[in-house]
Amino acid sequence: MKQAVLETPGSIVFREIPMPEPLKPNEILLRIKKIGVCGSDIHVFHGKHPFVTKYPVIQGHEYSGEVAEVGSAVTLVKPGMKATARPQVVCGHCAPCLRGQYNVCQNLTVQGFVANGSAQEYFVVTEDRIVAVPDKVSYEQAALIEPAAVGAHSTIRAGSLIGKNVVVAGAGTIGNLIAQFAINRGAKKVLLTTAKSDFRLGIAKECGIKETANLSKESFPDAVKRVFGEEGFQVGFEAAGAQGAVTDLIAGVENGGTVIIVGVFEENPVVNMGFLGEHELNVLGSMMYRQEDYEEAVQFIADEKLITSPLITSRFPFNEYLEAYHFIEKQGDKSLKVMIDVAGN
Amino acid sequence: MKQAVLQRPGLVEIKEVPLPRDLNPNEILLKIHRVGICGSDVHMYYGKHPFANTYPMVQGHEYGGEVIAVGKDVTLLKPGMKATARPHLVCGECPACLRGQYNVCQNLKVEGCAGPEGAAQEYFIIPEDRAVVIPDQLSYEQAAMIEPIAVGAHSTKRAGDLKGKNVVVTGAGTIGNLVAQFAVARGANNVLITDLVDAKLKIANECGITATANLNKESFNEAVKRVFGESGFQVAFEAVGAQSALTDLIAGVENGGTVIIIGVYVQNPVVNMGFLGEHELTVLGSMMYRHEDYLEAVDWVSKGKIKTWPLITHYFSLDEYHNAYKFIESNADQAVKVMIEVTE
Repeated sequence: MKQAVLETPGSIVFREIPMPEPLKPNEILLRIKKIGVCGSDIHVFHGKHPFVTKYPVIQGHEYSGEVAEVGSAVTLVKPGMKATARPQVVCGHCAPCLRGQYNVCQNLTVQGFVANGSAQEYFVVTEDRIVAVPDKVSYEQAALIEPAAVGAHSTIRAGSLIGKNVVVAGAGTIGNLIAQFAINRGAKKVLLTTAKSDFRLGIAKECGIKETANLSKESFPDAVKRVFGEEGFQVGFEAAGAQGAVTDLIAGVENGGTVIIVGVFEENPVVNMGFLGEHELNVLGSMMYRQEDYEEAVQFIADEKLITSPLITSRFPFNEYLEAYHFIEKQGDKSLKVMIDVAGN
Repeated sequence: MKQAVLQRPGLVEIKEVPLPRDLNPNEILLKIHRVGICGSDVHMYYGKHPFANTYPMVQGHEYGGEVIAVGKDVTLLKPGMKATARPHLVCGECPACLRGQYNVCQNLKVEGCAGPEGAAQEYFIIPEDRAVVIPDQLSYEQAAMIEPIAVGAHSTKRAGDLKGKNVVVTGAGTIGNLVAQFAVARGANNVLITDLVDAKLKIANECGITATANLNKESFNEAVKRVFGESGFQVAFEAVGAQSALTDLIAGVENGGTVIIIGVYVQNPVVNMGFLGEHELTVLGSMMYRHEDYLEAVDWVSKGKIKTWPLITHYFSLDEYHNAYKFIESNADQAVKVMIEVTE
C-alpha cells in the first residue's frame, strides 16, 4: 500500500509498504478515505512545531475511513461502516490519566506527529479510540470531526456559555468551529475576529456566524462596542496563536471573565498579569479533546448543528500531498480546510 | 488628630488635621491602633504601583482599631470593641457586583490605595457593611493582619479543593507565608514555599510550613523533586510578581494543574503558552477578598490555625512612618511585616 512520508521539513515522498499486520482482537483496519490538513501539520511541515522535532513523520490525524476488517473482540463497528478515531495514544497510569484527563497524559503521543498517522491507504486503530460515523455524514465531513472535537472540548472547558457574550479570535477552521459551538451552546452573541483578510469572515457568515470583525480595518474595542454595546464580553477564545489576540482578550474581557487558550504560539506572548490578577480572570488552556468530545462532534455534524461544507476550500488527490502544502503556502489566508482525497468517496 | 500623608512618591509627612466629621447612622468611628505596611504600599511609595498612583494619599488598608462611637443604626459593634474593615468601595451595579464578585467591581476603589484616604491616622470612619468584629483575645496587631490573611483565604479558595494535593508557593513574604499556611490548613498533602532569603524561610518554619527551598542555593526542579519525589505538584501560588517564579510554576506544575496569580508585576511577564495550552493548565487571577474571606481570616486566627507573630518583624510609631519606608528600603530581606503603632 501507498504511504506519504514527511522525510524532512518541506519534503514529502511516497513509498510502497506492506499491508498492516493481522489485527489484534481490539483493533480495526480502516481504509482511509479523506485526510484534512491541519494548521499544526503545516507547523510540522515547516519544521516549526514547538514539540515535534523528529523526522521522518507520517502525518494525518484528521481522517475518515471505511471499516475494512475488525478484530475478534470489536463490537462498536462492522466492515463497511464509516468511522474515524482519536489520534491520542496515552499511558493510562500517569496522574492525569488516572483522573480521566487523558488528553494531557504525561506520556501522550499523538499519531501524525510523534507516532505514525493515517497518511496511507490503510490504517489500524484501536476500538477505545474509534468513533462510528453515521452513513448520512460524508467522508469529508467525517474528516472534520477532529477539529470539531477541539471546538467541543474548548467550549466545555469554558463552563456554561448560556446568555454570555463570546469573542473568538482567529477565523481559521478551529476558530470557526469554536464559534459555531458557542452559538449552539447558548451564547447570547458570538463575535469572530481575524487580523487577516475578509475571506475567512465570508466563510464564517456561510456557517451562520453573523458577527465578525476584520481587525485590520476596525480596532478590537470598536468591534466589541459595535457588537455587544455596553454589555462587553464574558468569555474569549484565543484561536490565533498571536500576541495581539491575547493582549486584546485579556484587556477586554469583563472582570472575572474567562479566556481559553486554543491557538499554538510559535513565540511566547507577554501577558498583562496586572489585568489577569486584579480582574481575577480565568485563563485556561484547552488541549485537543477526549472521547466524549469526538462523540459530541459526530452528533452535532450528523444533526447539522455544525455547518462544515463552507470550511473545505480545496481538494487534492493523495499523490499531490506536497502540492497541497505548496498551495496552502501560496494562498495564505485565502484557503481554509484543504482535504486530501486518499480513496474517493 | 495626626495623619500620615504620602505627599508624592518618596515623601511621607505627618499632618495635624481636624477630627473626623459626625457619623452617619451606618458608620463606626475607630481609634486606630495598628497599621501594617503592605507590599503594594511600598510600590505606591516608589510611584511604581500599576494602578494606585494618585497623590497625595493617606495610606493604610491593613489596620486594627478600637470602636469609639457608632451610628444609631449600627448593631454589629459597640464602643470598646476591637474591629477592622475591608477597604473596598464598590458600585453594586456592574455585572461583577451583581453576580456577587464585588472584589472585581468594575468601579472598584480601595481606601488607602486607589481611592479615598486610608487608616494611617488616629481616627477613621468605617461603614458597618465592611466592618468585621475582632474577638477580645486577639491583639490589635493580629487585627491589622486580617487583611493579608484574607488574601490567603481568598486565593486558596480560588484554587479549588486542596485536599491531598501537593502545593508550591513562590515567595515567602507576608502573603506567600499566609497562602502557604492556608494551604496547609485546608488539607494540602505537602506544601513547599520558596524564596531567595533564608530569614523569610525561617519565619515560614516558625509558622509551621516545614518544606522550604532557597532558590539561590537549589534549583526549583531539585527542590520539587526533593520535597515531592515523583508525585510532583498540582497547585501553585505565584506570590512574588516575578518572571522566573511564573516560568518555574508554568513549566513545573502537573499537566492539568492550577496556578494562581497573586503577585503584583512591575513588568509584564512572558508566558509559555505552549505549556499552558498543551498541558491544559488553569491560570487564575486572585483579587483581594470578599467579606466571607475576612470572616474566615478572623475565625482561623482565633482558632490558632494561622500564626501571625513570626511575621511581624519591626515596629515604628506613627511619627516615624517615613522612617519605616526608609528601613524597608535598606532591609528588604529582613523586613517582613512592618507595623505602625498609631496608638501606643
